[in-house]
Amino acid sequence: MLKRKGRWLAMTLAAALLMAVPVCASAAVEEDGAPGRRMAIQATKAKPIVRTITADHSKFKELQFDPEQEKTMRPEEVTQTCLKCHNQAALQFHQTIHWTWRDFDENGKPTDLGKGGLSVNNF
Amino acid sequence: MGRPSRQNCGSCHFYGGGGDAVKHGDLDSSLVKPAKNLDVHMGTLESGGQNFTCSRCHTTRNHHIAGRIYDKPAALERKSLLQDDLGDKIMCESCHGMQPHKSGGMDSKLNDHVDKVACQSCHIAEFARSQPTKMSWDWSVAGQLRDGKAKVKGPDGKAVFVKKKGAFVWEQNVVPEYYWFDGTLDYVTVEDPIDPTGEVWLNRPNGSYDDPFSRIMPFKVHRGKTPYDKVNKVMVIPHLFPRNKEDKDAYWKSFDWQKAIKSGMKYAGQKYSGEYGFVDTAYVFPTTHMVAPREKALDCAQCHTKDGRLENLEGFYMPGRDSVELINAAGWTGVIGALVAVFIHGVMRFVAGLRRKED
Amino acid sequence: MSEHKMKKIYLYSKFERFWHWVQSVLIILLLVTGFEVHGSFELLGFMKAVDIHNTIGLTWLILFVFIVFWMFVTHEYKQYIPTTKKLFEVAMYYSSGIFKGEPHPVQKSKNAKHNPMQRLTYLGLTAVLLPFQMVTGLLYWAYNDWADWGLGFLDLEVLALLHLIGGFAILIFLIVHVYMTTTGHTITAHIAAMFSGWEEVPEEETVPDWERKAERH
Repeated sequence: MLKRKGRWLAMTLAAALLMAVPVCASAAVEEDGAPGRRMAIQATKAKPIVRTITADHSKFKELQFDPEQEKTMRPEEVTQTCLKCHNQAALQFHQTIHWTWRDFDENGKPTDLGKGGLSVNNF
Repeated sequence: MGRPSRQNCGSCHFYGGGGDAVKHGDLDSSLVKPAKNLDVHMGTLESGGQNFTCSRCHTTRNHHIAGRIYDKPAALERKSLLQDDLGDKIMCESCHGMQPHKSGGMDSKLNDHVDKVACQSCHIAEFARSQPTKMSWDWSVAGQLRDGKAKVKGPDGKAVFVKKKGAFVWEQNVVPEYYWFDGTLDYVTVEDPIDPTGEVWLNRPNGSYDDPFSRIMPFKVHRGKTPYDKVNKVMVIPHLFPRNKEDKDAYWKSFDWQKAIKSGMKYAGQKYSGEYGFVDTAYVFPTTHMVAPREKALDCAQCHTKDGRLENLEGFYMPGRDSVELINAAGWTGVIGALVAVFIHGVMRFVAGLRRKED
Repeated sequence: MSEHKMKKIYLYSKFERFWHWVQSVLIILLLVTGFEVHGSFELLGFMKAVDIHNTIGLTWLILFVFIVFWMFVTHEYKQYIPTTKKLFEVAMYYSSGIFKGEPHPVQKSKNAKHNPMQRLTYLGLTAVLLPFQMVTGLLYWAYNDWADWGLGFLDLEVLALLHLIGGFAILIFLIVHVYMTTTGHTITAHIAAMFSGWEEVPEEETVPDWERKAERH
């Protein structure tokens, strides 16, 4: 009888252990298995420089400044040079919060929010 | 000519609030050349990071830079680049999708959380991990000296008192506060009435458990003592920076709040009663930069426990945190009652058995 | 009672003993991990507790299907058909007779494994409490799919608390059940029988007809 008892105890324990195996296996972390991680790596694989730049700005004559003249130039003068080709940039920039310091409503009109508006903070 | 570097954007955004690391808690000069540990995306290649510049996520359209602007959410919808290849890259989901973790077992459970918990909540366990950030700012003690000095430094070298600005508390490795957030913030402007009897939240995350677009988001909450109009019960805009050497109205010229507030409110076109006081205020910043490597993400028990990180969030049941005390009390009373009953029964059997033997 | 002449009868078949003990291990693990998930104490850590609780809960569900299948195939379910006959006598025995050394009013036999009180208790457990725990547990587990399954009206708090109440009920059952195993002619007699299958019963007793399991035709 003792022998039988022992066998059943062993079987019961074995069954309980078998059930615990998948628990332990699923807890182990598998490297790089997350689909989100794989997707993100895929999405950002190409270096930005490879993708879009088709002009080497250092070759433009307009941007070759006289080293002596450069010493006294104001930053705005360089910007003026950019705007000769990038002829929409200034108009676009004037519409952004970096220029207006005001938030916009749905129609693009400036609101009271913003550093240039009536916002308050505590710092 | 080139694309803007982290240094370019950071020369303003890392120094918001009047100095390095003051304002945001998740943006400071250590992000110019961060290690992967500080930021998995912006971390340098040498440290194993991806060396992202700001504009890798803050993509632009006609010079409009993607990201939250006051009450405008950073994105209206959470979509991956596959769903909208011309969309902004500003959300984590843009690249990581809606099932960022593995599937199977408890990893699936993590994916189950993405509807209610923002990625940032678990993946930015603490902010200001490289430099301390300002957590509180008491303007009411400005204008005086402390221990006869105009500037007092704390143990970490950061000023804890400056005559021009008042007293500060700096903290490093800060555990964020968590709130439901639908991507928008409500703001108090100088025209909005306030209740000065309590802490005035100058901005506040919108959202709730019941809103399917809201998720739990980590925030730096900067607390302050800030001047307000005692009669009209509104915040005030003081005039701080002197326009020139003769500008006696500026607070940083004559240290006179009365003159500074009068002049500032006039400039902003607002009424001022002439009576000012200081009120406790709070200002929130969503914590979204300085994403830590995944090994540093929070584990379940940080929230699924009593007194955990989400102990103050209401309106929903969270396993491990919530319970009904009545059911607990009744349940354990029943369990203890059963134990006592079988114990007494057993003792009575034992005693009765002994007695029978004696007979 | 020990002066009675005893005989051994084979009462519990292999599969019955197998499911009893596996189920007991599963239930104890479910109780431990379940109360940890509820926040009653900290032992394995919340994540491990949830993981084990889910895995064991699903395992139990599969085992339970086999148990129920077995009961109907072998007609053993008839051992659970409730009766009020001698129920009062059994209650009286446990509340007074047992202290006086009186014999148990209902003897076990192959066709009547359970006394009337056991029938009621085990029927309640197998037909009500355990399925209730399985249904609430399964729904709890599938929380994220409620909307897709058209169960959006469910409330997690209500469900979790119902599952908790069921857990308390099982724990209380377990305590009383384990204690009752000590009330045989020796302290370990009933437990030994659940391992070996052989129960010792007094020889001269006869089993009344009403207690017999109806024979298969």
